[in-house]
Amino acid sequence: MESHFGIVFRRFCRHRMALVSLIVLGVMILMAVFAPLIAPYGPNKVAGGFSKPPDAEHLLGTDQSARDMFSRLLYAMRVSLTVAAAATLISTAIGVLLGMAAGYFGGRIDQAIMSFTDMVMSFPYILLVLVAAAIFEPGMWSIVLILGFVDWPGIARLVRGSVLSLRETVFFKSDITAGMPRRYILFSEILPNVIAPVLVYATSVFALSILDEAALSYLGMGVPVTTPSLGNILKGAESITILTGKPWLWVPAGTVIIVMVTCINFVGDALRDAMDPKN
Amino acid sequence: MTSASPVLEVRHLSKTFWEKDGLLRRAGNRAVQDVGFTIAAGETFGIVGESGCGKSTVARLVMGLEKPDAGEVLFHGQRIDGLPERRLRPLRPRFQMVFQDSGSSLNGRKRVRDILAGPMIWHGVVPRGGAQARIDELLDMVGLPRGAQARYPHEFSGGQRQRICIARALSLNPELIILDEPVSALDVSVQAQILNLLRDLQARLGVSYLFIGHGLGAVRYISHRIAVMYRGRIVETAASEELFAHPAHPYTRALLDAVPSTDWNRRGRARIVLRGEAYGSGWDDGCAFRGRCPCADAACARAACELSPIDGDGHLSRCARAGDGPERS
Repeated sequence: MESHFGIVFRRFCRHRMALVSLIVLGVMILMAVFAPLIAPYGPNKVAGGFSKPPDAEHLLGTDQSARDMFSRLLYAMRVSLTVAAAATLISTAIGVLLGMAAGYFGGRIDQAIMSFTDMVMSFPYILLVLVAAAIFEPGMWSIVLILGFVDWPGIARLVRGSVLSLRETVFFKSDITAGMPRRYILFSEILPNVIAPVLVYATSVFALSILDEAALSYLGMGVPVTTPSLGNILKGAESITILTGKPWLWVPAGTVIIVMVTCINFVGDALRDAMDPKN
Repeated sequence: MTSASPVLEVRHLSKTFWEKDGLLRRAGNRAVQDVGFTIAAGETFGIVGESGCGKSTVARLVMGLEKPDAGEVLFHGQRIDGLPERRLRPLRPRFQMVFQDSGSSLNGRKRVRDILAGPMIWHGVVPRGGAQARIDELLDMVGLPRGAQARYPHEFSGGQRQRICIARALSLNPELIILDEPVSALDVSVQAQILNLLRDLQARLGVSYLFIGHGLGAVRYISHRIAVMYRGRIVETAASEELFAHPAHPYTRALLDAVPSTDWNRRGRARIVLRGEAYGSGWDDGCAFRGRCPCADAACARAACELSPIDGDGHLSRCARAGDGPERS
């Protein structure tokens, strides 16, 4: 008599790479959460010499404004993870709600929702972001909203498909014949059955959001330069002299992005396997 | 409730399923045509027929899972066909359903306890948090150990899962349970256990059953009255023993003859052996069974017979040649 969660966790642990990735990711998240305690300096504090290479006092050196790069990196992880997590949360919520509505109600509601979904999906998001950035006040939370409103169509389609196949199951029909209300069927029967695929999909949305934030910030359309983020740190390394001569200004941030995204994808793959009911 | 006011009355029920077949042409499948019957309190009404004869569609129409094209479904005299779900929902606890596939009719992510408690709590059969005693009682009733409630559906055998489904149907104190081939997927020994359980429960609770099946033995064992369906129509209906003792319609006879038997009394007459598949589109006016019927003649192609009484006791048959054809000893 093992709980469903227990079975999934045991299967997940069979994937060594995923387990390692989960630990690495956990450490990174802890570092980000406790950045104010770990970081020796504030993110924007002038801490020492200008553009000094790494040494004992400044583990990752200092930038052109004499700010400690290690402290900046910690705060940047905090900002980037927050942006990506919040954006993923928003897009997952929108996707699940619209997908469930489309799949459950069908007919015109389904048509309307799915046309809207296709429209958002086919819209070039960079353009959307440029327009949004021009209209709204740029800031961390507008980037969260923009990313959140761009990434949901995939989840909506996934959930709609799951709901359509659940509709055909006998237990769905036996809920109808038991006279169960719509909200019970939707949230107590259907939702738990779509959580597994959604969770897997959400990990890839999370990874993409980290990359999107970095890309947008690099283009100057993302998180304001006054706030450290992984993209903003990379933006500071635009000139060829920094790229070739001062690798400590951009290599750590780039590495963190690569490691985070890789780890998230490993975790997502293992989750997919662990939650597959066919195993 | 007396037998004068039936629990369920079905009148002239018809349903055609339309399939898109090319751009303009549409193919129709007349799944149910002009089906009618009544079920009294504490009675079991059996519907038997081959696959695709429309018997499960009748169950779905009665349950409101499909909308009939014509006809009426009356529950205690109140029409329930065509009611919007919102109005039907308060009535639903009074007529429950057990499906054939017990495996997929239970949500695999929930424990048996939660599967049973959900509908009871929602319909106010038990107070929130007070479902435990009732769950124990239900498991006792269907012959499962009380420890079963902490487990998941996939940990049970098909017969045990069907017991869980029956417990779920009983949980709302229904007056009528529609059993759509509840034992067809089970081993013969398990079938007998489930059928006995259903009979015991009926004796204790006075619940009515609409029992749908294709196994003659099971339907005969549990039903008081039986209807035989062929191509969407009831071709014969009678009290259970009467139907088996004096089958009137050639199709009913063919069904009975298909059952291996040691009954020496039957040796006197020629057996009717069904040949071929179901015949024709079902759209002409002739008898749907004529293509496979040993006693069909030209008249059968022109017009189908009405369901008419054989005797005074409610034995009806849809064959004017009933009694003709191959002689019985």
